[in-house]
Amino acid sequence: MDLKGYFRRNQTLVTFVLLVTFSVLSLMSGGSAGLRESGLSTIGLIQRSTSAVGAFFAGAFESVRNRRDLRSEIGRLQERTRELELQQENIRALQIEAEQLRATLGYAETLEFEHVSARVIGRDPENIFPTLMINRGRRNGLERNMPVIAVQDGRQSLVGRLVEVGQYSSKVLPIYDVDAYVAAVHQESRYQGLISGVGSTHEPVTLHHIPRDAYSEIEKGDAIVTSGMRSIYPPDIAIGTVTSVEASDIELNLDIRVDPVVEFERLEFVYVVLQEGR
Amino acid sequence: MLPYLIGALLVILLSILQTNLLSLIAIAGVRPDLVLIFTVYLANRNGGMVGQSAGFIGGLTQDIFSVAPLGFYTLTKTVVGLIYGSTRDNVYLDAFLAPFLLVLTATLLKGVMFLLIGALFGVSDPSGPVLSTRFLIETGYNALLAPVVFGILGRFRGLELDWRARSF
Repeated sequence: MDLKGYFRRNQTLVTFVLLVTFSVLSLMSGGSAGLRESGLSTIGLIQRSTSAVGAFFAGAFESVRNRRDLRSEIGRLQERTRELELQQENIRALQIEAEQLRATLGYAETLEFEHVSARVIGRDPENIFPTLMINRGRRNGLERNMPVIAVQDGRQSLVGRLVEVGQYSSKVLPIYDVDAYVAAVHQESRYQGLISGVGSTHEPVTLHHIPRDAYSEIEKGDAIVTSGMRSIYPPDIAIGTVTSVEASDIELNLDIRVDPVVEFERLEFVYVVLQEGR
Repeated sequence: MLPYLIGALLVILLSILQTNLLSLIAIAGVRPDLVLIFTVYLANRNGGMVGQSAGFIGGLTQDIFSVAPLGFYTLTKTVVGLIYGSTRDNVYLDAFLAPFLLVLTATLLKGVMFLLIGALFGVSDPSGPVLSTRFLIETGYNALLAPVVFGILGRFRGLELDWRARSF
């Protein structure tokens, strides 16, 4: 039998079988951590560059929008006035940026944990698995399972944990993932449970395993924080607020919906907690 | 050899752009799948061999950037690439309808593949995201974007990789 001739005639099919075999073996074995981390380290460098380009375009779009509004207001003014107003606009943008950076720096100084600050440079390529990519990696002292927190609107709150760490970038599994399971506690009553989501930032996360007895003690608006019990997360970091408490007739536990403090869609900076206490 | 290298680099670049730059054009937080659109285009123009190779490279890059198990996107995009390679010489690419329908069905096929792989390999249940409004938005978004992307890609003759004699 002419094996070489057979391969040549069925090149597409043979290649397909090889590619599928690789994929299936990867899925069955849980994937090679080495391959993923190498890929993350090398291709992650390109991602950092494209993220910077993205930030530039986002800024450019915003500038164009601002300028259009401005133009309608000052249409009747002379060229010189227009230039001055444009300069003023640029100064204002710089001031806002400076205020944001100052605020970020200020928040960082108020953190009780030793931490590494990082910028969010990417999200999951598809809309299926929630992932955040940050521009810090092993070179910055990061390790797998380190907690990630953020400060938004002056509030320190939990984002998730590191699931993969490359040389220069890392992946964060956010708390709204279906497999997040964050040890959490109702701040007032101290009832403990586990938080997980449905994989979407548009849906609240759920606090599981809270017994029905707690029904009268938990109300809408109550704070849910990390418990720190047998957990990788430090205690008392804000997770969210209760939006609804439901008690089914057949369930032993309550169904508690929690609105996360963090607005993941507009998350730009995060802090990776290295160890508790400074 | 150079066209293949350019094609491979392009699909890697698109995978990377999908993780960050595409947030700028997201609708209700849903980003289009440029890698899928590119794979379908290459498959239609060049056949199954190029289609599955592009799908494999694009899917593998996506796996690296995702918390999905390694192989999840790779397998999905490889199969899509092979299947849509069979449309070569069978589906004529007009300006709108053919790209629209090809990518619409490819996105739906991708969703079915996600569910199948999820069930077969015990991957963290993807049925929630797939059977959701977000996936419907993505399907429509991909389909509507396809004629534009196909139109742009059609201007690059270098993407005709000529596997005619060897592919399906």
